[in-house]
Amino acid sequence: MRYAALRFIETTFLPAIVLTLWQFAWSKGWLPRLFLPAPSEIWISLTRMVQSGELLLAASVTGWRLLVGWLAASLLGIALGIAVGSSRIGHRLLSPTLEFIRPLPASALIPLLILAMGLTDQMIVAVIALGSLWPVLLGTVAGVRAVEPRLLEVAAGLEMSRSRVTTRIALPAALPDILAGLRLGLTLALVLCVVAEMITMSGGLGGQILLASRNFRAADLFAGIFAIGATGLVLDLCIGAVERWCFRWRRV
Amino acid sequence: MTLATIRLQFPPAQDSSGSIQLKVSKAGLSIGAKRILQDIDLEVRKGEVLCLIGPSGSGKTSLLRMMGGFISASEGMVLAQGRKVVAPSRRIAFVFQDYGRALLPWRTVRGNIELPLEARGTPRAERAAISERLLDQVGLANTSNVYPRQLSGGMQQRVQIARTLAQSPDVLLMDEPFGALDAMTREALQDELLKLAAIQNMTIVFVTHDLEEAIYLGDRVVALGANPGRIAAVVDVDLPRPRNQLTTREDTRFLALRHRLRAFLTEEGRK
Amino acid sequence: MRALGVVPPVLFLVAWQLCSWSPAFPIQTFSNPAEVVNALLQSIWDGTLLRATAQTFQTTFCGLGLAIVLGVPFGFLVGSLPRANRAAVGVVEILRPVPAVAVIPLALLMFGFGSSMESAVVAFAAFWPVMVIARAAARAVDERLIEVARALEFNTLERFVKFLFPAALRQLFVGFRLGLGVALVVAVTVEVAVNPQGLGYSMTSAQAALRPDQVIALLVWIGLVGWTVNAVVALAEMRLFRWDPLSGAHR
Repeated sequence: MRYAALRFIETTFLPAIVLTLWQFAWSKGWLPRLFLPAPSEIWISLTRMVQSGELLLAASVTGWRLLVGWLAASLLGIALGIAVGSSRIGHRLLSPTLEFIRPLPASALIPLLILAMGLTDQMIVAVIALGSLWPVLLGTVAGVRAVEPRLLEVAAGLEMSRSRVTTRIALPAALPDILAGLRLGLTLALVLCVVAEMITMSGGLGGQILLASRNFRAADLFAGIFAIGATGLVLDLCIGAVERWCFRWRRV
Repeated sequence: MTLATIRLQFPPAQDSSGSIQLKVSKAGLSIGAKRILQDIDLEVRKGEVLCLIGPSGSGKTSLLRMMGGFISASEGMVLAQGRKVVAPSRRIAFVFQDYGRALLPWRTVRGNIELPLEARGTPRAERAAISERLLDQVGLANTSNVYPRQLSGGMQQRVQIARTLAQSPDVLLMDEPFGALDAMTREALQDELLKLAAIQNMTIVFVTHDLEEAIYLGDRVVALGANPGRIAAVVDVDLPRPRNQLTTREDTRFLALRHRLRAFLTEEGRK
Repeated sequence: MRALGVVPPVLFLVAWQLCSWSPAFPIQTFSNPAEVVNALLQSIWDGTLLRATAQTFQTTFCGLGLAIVLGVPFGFLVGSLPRANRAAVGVVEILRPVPAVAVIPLALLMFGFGSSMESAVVAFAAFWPVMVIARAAARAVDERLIEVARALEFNTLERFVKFLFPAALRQLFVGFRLGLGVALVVAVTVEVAVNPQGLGYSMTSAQAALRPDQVIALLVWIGLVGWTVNAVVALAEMRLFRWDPLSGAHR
């Protein structure tokens, strides 16, 4: 009990001190108020934005775009990944191309998509989808290729159909790599969403913080940044929970 | 008279092809430039336990995999009940030595055993009953909801065996299944296997490097020579059944066979 | 049969070129390979491409440098002193979930448009992989070395410089490689989003000028640059650490 309390103090005392010093320095006027508001101001901003519902609105706009884009990318990525990963020829044909595309910044796709689709909502979803496709695809390919060959022999011995082998053996075996890819894809999706929203100024959390910056509302800006961080954290925790559920057999 | 000159040709049995489960006919196997198997002629009769022994390099695992349809013979062929074996099939079940890699880790024991039943399309209601019965038969009752990683090596191997039994196969091919286990577990599993074989009148081809295991389990022992693998001797094991770990292993006939086969293996191993 | 991998891109290019000759093809949006190559060569020839690349590289390496200068000591500190690690955890876990792009508007407020703003965002992003790896490297340093350092009564700073740093150099290089990857991507992202300089901005202006050939040419160029940088660093890694059997294991 004491141990837990000690741990708690150890982890929270530094942030607490930082916040206290920050507030103090601000009140003395030592800080450039233009971009460094007081913690108290940030808190006020945050509560105001929550109460007025604007934060929830922005978060849901962003969240919706994220969900649609990422879900589409994930389904497509897993399907394609299975196809490429389970075919030896497919992999040999496509893997150099995939490896070349891997280091490409996904945000570099944005100008092209703006040309194609304009500054629209669909463009944002398309950017998210196209960007988060790659980690999922690459992760699935890696996972499928790494399936224990002995299990494939077992499946052959049982004369299992191709689709059965995929769903009963390849997918569960590849799940760790697939989930890792999904996680990366989700992180990337948030980044792309925020960037696209900044460019199009079309609401959402990204649009909101850029707006705050343009209007020199530093407290709102910080509150928005915090909201984005919190969103990322929540999404990560969700995937973490899914991972834990999928791999409960590992923890017995 | 060396073992190599003992080639016991069995006269065609009472009802010829009906009781031949597997027939390997003039089979050879080359991988690249390397000759693995040469001139293999073998018949496996229904209900018998046939043991394959040989030093490393004798291609015994390759021969077994050929029988199972996992690799194709370079020459000759393998016939299962008269039909050519070209691919793995449900009727010829294979038990791997590395049981840890052959079981699905994300499924419980029951989930693993039901895999062949799912593949066959057995209705869900029946599956539970069948898997419970099989678990009982291999001595693993009450483990259905346990994951493989929670079991010992011997138990995992039993799960694999139970899974192959769920296929209701005509032939059971076993590739050094007890090789990775400790001596006591090995002996326990040997006896269980014999019991199962007797109850179900199973046809088993059992590959092992353990000479005594081969004699203990088998009705016949086929000794392979090395480099390239070929049949050097086929020996009848006329020890009484049921076998017993203590008395059978002390039987004079057992010792004689062991003596001769050991000399043979040492000689082949030197080549 | 590495050559087989060339087939899909070649097929794609041929198909693209052929389709672009059909009247139904939206050539204003997608251009065709011939025009793209032309635009690429053109922008190399008139120096704009190389200038933009230099700008992007400048902020990339500035930001990365800052991230290393801050991240390595911090990582070493929290890696070798469990107490420090526990103290820092609170701040780290609050800041880490914030994606670097969310910091862009703040950097704008602080620095306005330009290189400083971009380098700051890049530094924020690259800090994390560098720090995490420095921390892991510090933790992994052989206990024995630390005992020796203590026995010889080196103070903490000397311990870092004389013992920790050389032993951890191999892993730090991995951190450098990862950080560089992140830095490049973030630099381009900031340019695409707001900053009027570098390759990302070239893309945005090409898009505003409705020049798909230039946009795609830049896309290809960025891909090439990223791939080349990656390859060069991997090569350097293999040369520098020839003795390490794990060099090149990341490939």
